[in-house]
Amino acid sequence: MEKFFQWIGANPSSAVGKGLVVAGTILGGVLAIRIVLGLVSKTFLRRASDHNRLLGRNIIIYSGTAILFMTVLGELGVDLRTILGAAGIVGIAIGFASQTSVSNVISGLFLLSEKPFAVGDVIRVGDKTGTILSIDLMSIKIRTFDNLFIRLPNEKVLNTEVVNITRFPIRRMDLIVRVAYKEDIGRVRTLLAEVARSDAHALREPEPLVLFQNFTDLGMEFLLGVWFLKTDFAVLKNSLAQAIKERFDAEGVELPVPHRALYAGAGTAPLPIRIVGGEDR
Amino acid sequence: MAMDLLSVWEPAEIAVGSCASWRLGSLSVWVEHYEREWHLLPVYHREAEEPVGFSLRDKTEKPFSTEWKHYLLREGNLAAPAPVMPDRAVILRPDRVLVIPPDEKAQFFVSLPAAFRLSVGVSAVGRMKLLCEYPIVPMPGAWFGDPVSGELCYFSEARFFPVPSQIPRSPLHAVCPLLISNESDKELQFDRICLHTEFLGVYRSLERFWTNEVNVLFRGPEHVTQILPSKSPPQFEGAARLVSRPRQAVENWYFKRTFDLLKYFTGF
Repeated sequence: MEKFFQWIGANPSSAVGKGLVVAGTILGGVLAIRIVLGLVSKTFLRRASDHNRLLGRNIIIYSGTAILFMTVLGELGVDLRTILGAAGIVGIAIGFASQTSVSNVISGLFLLSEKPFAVGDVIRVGDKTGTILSIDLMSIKIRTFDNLFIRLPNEKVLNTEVVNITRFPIRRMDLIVRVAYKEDIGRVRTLLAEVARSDAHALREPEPLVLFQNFTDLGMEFLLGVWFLKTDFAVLKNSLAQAIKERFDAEGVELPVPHRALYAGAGTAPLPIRIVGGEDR
Repeated sequence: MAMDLLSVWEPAEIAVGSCASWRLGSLSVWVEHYEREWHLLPVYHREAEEPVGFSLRDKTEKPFSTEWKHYLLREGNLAAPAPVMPDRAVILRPDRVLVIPPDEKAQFFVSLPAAFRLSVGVSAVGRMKLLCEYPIVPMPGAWFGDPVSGELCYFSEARFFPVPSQIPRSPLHAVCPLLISNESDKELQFDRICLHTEFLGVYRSLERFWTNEVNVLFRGPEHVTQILPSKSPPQFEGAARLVSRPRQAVENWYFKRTFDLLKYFTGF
């Protein structure tokens, strides 16, 4: 490099020429990358999924930039063999200094090859839920339903349980429904099944699941599992809850409120009550 | 009487400035014709009765709704309704379990609800432009196959009649003849069948609508069931003429899983 700068000092006119060549190389390189990107996008990637389109674009941009960088260094007279030789030593140094980044890159490669999700999928990572905007070398970007942008480092995604909510075309929505102890279990099961079958957004097959769950403090607990198209989640959640409430009201089925039983301490003896000041009223 | 019922599907002249409606059971389709514009509104009714008919209406009768759709068309006064088969496959659940012994054939007739298709043009023999399609009987959705690679269908409970004369005549349904051959060495016991209606055209005979005959060849649950929709008109009630073509062309042999003999879902 020292020789290079000495040469610039000694040959200012040639340096200008060299500068122009380098600038031209950069401009031409960037233009070439954009042309290749456009061509590939409009031909091979035209019918690809969002995920594969993003992957293809990233490969072209990263490899094109690397080739351009090497070409420019070659134009500047930098000996690439020296750089590559030094790269090993520098690589170790950088590796120690940027363990997290390298870990993210390697995690990103694993995520790309394993394909647990794709661009456009809705995923839940920890307490974050959103639609995947991009899967990059260092991180994935998601947009939450309240329109927040979240960057999740690949390493974290790889080490965390990821739930892909929209991977399959249909899902089952499980609702816990509680009714008072006085209600007939068979009748409640029939009513819940009828409500599920009459909902326009619920699939008739697979058939809705109605299951008695438990005797709880609040009453008897039933599980209502209704299959639906993944796009109908919100509308079904609202319509199903409304339909259950309306049907239970119409049929006189009691939805329980919290109860507390007071124990007097002597078997089933009534709780002694003494009215104080009753005469004054 | 039957002819009168089917006449609801005849093309109708609706002049500019006129309003009309078709009543097809629980569905009403309102049409208003403006200069270079057709306004359409489907309305679903909850009444148990199922009147059928077409009539020109006074503009004051038209329902007030924000759901009216405006179709921009340059010319044409002729509105041509047509019954078409549903746009997705229909899972039919017989009202009783049907069993076909090995090496037996069974002929069934099933009534399928049609959809209402409206096209508009200058003359019935000229090129008509498709405006809309509405299901006459809204059917709930159902999933056929496993939850990963199955397909979205409609669901309908149906009676499988052994002879077509037992099926009540309806201008809103088409009778689908089904010939099921059990060529396996086990008895075929099915509680549902997935009928790919997108391959079925609608034909009109003297008294009712028909679809292509469908031949189903069952060779055992481990084999793919072969379905062959016939290319010729059904011949069960005299000559029948084509009213609506199938949505998809019938290939020589169409292979599809038809019977769902396994329970894919255990709940938990």
